[in-house]
Amino acid sequence: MNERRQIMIGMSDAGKTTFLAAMYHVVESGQVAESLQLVDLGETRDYLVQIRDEWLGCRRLDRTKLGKEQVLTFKLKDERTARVTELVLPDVSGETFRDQWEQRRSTKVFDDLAREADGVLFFIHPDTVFNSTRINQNKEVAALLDDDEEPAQGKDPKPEEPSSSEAENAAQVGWHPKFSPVQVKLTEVLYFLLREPHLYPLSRVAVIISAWDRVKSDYAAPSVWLAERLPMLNQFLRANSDRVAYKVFGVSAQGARYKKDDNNALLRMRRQAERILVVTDAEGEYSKHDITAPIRWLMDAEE
Amino acid sequence: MSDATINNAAGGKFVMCKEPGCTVAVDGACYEGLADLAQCSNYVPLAIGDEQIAALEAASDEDAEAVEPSEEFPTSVNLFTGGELDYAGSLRIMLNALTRVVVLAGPNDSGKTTLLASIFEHFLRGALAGYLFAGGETSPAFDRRCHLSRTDSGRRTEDTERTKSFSEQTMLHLRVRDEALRNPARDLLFSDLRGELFNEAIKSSAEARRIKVLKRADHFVLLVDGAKLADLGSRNQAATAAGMTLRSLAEAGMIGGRTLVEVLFTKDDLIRRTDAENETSEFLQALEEDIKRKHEHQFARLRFRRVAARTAEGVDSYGVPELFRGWVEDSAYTDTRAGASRDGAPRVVTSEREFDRYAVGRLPERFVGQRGGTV
Repeated sequence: MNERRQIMIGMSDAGKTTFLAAMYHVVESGQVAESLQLVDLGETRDYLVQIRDEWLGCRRLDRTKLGKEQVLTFKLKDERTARVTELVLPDVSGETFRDQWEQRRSTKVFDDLAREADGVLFFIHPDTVFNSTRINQNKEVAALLDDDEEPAQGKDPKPEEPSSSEAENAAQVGWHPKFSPVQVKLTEVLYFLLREPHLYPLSRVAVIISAWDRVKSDYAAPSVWLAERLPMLNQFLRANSDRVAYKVFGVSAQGARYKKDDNNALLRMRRQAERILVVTDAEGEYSKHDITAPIRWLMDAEE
Repeated sequence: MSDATINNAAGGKFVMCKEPGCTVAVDGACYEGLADLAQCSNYVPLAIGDEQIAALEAASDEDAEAVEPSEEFPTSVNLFTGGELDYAGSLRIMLNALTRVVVLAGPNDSGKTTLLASIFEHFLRGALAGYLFAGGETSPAFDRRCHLSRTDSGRRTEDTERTKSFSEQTMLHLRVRDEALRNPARDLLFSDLRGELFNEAIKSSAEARRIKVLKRADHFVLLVDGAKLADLGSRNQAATAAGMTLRSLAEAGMIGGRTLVEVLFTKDDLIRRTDAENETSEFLQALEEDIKRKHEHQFARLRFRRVAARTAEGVDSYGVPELFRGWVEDSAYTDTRAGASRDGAPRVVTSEREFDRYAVGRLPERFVGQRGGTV
């Protein structure tokens, strides 16, 4: 039996735990014929059962806390090839990656896991992608909006307050890593794993755009979203693609944004696995409910 | 992430090293080759005494739970800082790959840091001059330089942080790769030096010789402040200082036949604004001719460019992509024009240069001389 080790990386609320919950449902229930299937339940599974139940009830999953990470093991069978693989997949807190960027330190737990992994599931949630705004760009937009407004009747326009450089310097906020654009942080988190002296044996990165249902109508394909919303990360992946292959997946593990009181449209589905949506740039490459597709792609790397 | 944990002792003490790849905690050998570990800036001695070591060694498996884990045993791993590279950090990059060293020179407020910030901002939007962002050891340092131009700074007008480094050896690092992925990635090291260093270099050859990074520079980029050129009251001093800087550094032997020199007139949008009134373009033309006449024969190449690196309201920045492409692609080491290597092979080290000779002396097994073999 093969053993494959993968790690999940991504900031807090990137969708890692929701993905795990949905994945456990798919591999255990057998509702998606094309997906990897769970060979046996394994000795301990209370965490997986718990998060799966939350997912089945359309309840938002709590953030994984630092220090409460779970290292999960799945014995999975690929029906196409009859190959059985033991997949080791830790559910790491997003705070680990925030600290990597802001504090320039990582946990030893994560470091040890990364040294044994050959694939990365890299989660990005569209709602967390905010890029910084240039002051002059902001002014241009503000000026355009002002031009569109009707002038107040009988009143002169309010003059702009003159900016004194002393006052401005006094008011300015110093740099802190938290202010950096999200794409700078995400690129750096990946750079930690790929930089020389190449301490980590990673050969593939599956980029997972979470909550794909929310953005799919605006972007032709997941890789288009990545190129437009995170250009620096996109460049980094392309520039390093001969050493580390990558593929971009759009995944909706929930199926839709959960509502506070009424999720009946989702709950009514007889096969809950059909809530899930998975897309790649090539239409029909994987079954659209097969949430194990990114994992299968990572496993397909040459031995 | 550091491989060095508390696995072993070096010299009787437990140590840790912030530098990835350093094995000092395992075999006592410092990655930087320093015999005295306390000299190394990455060295972290752990305050674990002999009593604690003895207690741990004596504890059996059954007693393991009875031994309180020391708070000094790390559960975290330090990563590289992401700040400006010091000498050791930049040397390692130069050894690993063919690296372009770009030195930005000029008085304070001439636009050196703004230019670097502009390059990083370009990569945030997409490829620059046909090159992809492939990583870098100093992304936080680059991003910090962009901060005062963003709304997060709380400012109403864009500005750039004044360079604080007091060492002429600190650098910023970028790795780039051509969009077609035809060639391997290339490293660039940028030296963002304080304006005061060049003010002093104009006055004294000894001060000029202190700026050691110049000896390794592929590109020497002299920034001339466009705001000063646009002003009748200051343009003559600005022009004279530019000429004096080149002369001072050339006579001190810090730049010369292997250096590609660019004279960059910054804030070109301001220059254009006063063109009609002050005949600024004619003034610049005369300045160019004067510098060419005096210095063109001294350098591998001498070029003049105009650039506006920061966007004013309603004005797009320009000139940066062309500049950047030249820095990535051109070097007198690989150029087949006069003065460069005949076979086109880059020389990682040339024995004439003080910077390289120092490196060769410290790490002789890593260097290849001009004709192959160790120097």
